[in-house]
Amino acid sequence: DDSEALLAQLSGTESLQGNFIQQQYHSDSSVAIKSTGRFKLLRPGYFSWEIESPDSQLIIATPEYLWQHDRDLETVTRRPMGGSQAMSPLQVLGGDAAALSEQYQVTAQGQGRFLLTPQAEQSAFKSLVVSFAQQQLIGMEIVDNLGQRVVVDFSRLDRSPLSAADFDFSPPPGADLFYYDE
Amino acid sequence: CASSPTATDSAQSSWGQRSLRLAQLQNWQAEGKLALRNAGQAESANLLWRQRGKHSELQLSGPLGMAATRITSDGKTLDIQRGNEHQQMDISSPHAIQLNTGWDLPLAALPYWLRGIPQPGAAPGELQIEQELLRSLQQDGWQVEFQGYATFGTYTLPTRLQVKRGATSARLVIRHWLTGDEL
Repeated sequence: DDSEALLAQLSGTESLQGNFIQQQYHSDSSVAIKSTGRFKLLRPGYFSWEIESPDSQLIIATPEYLWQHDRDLETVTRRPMGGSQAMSPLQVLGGDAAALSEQYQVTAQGQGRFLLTPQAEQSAFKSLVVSFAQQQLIGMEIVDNLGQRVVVDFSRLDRSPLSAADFDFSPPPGADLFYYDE
Repeated sequence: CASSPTATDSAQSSWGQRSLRLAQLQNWQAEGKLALRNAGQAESANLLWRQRGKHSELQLSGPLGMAATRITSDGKTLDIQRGNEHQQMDISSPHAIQLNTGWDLPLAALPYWLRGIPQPGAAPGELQIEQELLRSLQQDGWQVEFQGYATFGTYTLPTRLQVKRGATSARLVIRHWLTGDEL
């Protein structure tokens, strides 16, 4: 399949950060639910996805843990990264080559677009299209498990180097913590 | 002036009127977020809850549409749809939901609590009402705290709830309500 070509595009950027706008289309309505925020990627294995509006939520992945901090609900969950839990679209971008080609069927669709279809029966989404322009990641389109479209557009991209310290996370006092064990 | 209604009387009657009007609200939609927690699991998701009479439809999804799930129920059966996986269960017996999903969830009572009123029929424990708004409630072993309200159209509805029983707790934040006339 075309995972080599996709990996070639992805390997151009080890560090990447910027803004995102996400539009989620419920299956029976053309009205999109919009959310915006910032993201960071440090390949392989690190990503941060911070939703700033309308709700407030931070998801951080390191090679060891996946943290999810919902500021509105005041909850923090930590999951071991090595676990079997399905790869999220972000782990695809931040993930290493082996995980990418093993877990997805990748087909190039032309003009810098790649369609990724999960191989596993049980997966967190139906399909993902990742799009690039001049070797630069510009967007993603996810079809979720209910056939609903989630369109993500990236902007203000910055490739200045990031380090593991940019992905440090410590739970705030007072949050309801839940750590899944190893 | 003993005959003049005391503050609690007037609160009681307008709470009475308010809660009756909320109970009569058959069609509504609540959009927000839900966090569930029990001894072995903790999950949170975006939530779209649509109610038509006794028919509930819940759409849950994580960030980026992850693990999107649709739950529908008419109060007797419950359908869970996730990708091509489809599960149907009879929920008429009290612990059916817990047996099938591992979650102890008051699905029959939630459509009432979400609107800020007790579930009719089940004898409510102490209701704590302040300024005509239900602040806390005990029912069927559940402790329900109403931590925020806002006005949407002609209704004042909860925007933040916490529901607890034993090791199970649920937190709901509701950003947007649509009610009968707007639907």
